[in-house]
Amino acid sequence: MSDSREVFAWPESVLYLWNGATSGIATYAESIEVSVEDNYQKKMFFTATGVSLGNKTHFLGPTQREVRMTIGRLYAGNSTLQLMQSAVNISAVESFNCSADGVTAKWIIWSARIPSYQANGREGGVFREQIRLIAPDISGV
Amino acid sequence: MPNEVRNLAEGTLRWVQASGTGGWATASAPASGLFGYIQGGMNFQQPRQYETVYNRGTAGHFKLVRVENGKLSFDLLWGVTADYPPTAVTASGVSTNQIHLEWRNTAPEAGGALYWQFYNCVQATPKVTENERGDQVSFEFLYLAHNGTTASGYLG
Repeated sequence: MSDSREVFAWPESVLYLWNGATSGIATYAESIEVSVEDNYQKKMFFTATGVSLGNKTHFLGPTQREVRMTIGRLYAGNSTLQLMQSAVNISAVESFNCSADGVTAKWIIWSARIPSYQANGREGGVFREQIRLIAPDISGV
Repeated sequence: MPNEVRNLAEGTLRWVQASGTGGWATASAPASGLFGYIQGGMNFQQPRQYETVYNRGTAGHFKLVRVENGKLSFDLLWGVTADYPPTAVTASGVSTNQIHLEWRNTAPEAGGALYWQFYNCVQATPKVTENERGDQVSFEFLYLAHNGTTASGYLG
């Protein structure tokens, strides 16, 4: 990807969630965070007398991948909690469309579960909810 | 618009000792009075705080998230202090000295009078200013809610 193209902005992206049966745009989403963690195993070699062979140290793997996604939303109904209670795998797509320079991109999270749901109300503000998704894989980044 | 505009000369401001909180309730035989020598410039305001809800960075709608207390203030010339609301009488059912205020405007062309009511007022920031053309007493009341304009009054 050329360095000359623009970065993506918040209004240029859309978040879709679906559980296999229903899908839809996650409206009023905010504060989306995605992290991917690959688990590498560090392999160290030693001589018979215990001297480290530093130049032979390398990593194995990745043997395990964990994708975490956090979605903050403004509370506008029960759909988020229902998604958690649906007890089936969730997929999430964050799709970007930078029409100004004609470039699109997206990431897709497969087979996610929602282990955590939070709703927060505060004085002088609106209700916000937050879900956390964990998934074994992500594609399209 | 069927009515004429109102002016200072058509107005009176009365108070009555409040009872409880959250509306126009008074105890039996409450203290009451009429403010005299009010000068022009009485004003009140009650701010409302809205939060702008954004949808993908674009303002989508507003949500009312807070209604502040109102504030009513006026100046009068120091005259009959007996007509001022008592500062030592606690309204029944609350811990503060509370009065209700009623601002009446005579409006003969509209069939009588027009009223504003201010509920559960507490007096804040008393202020006195000496003046060669009459010493001035300034009242500032905080209130919980107001009602108006309405064609019916409580205090006459």
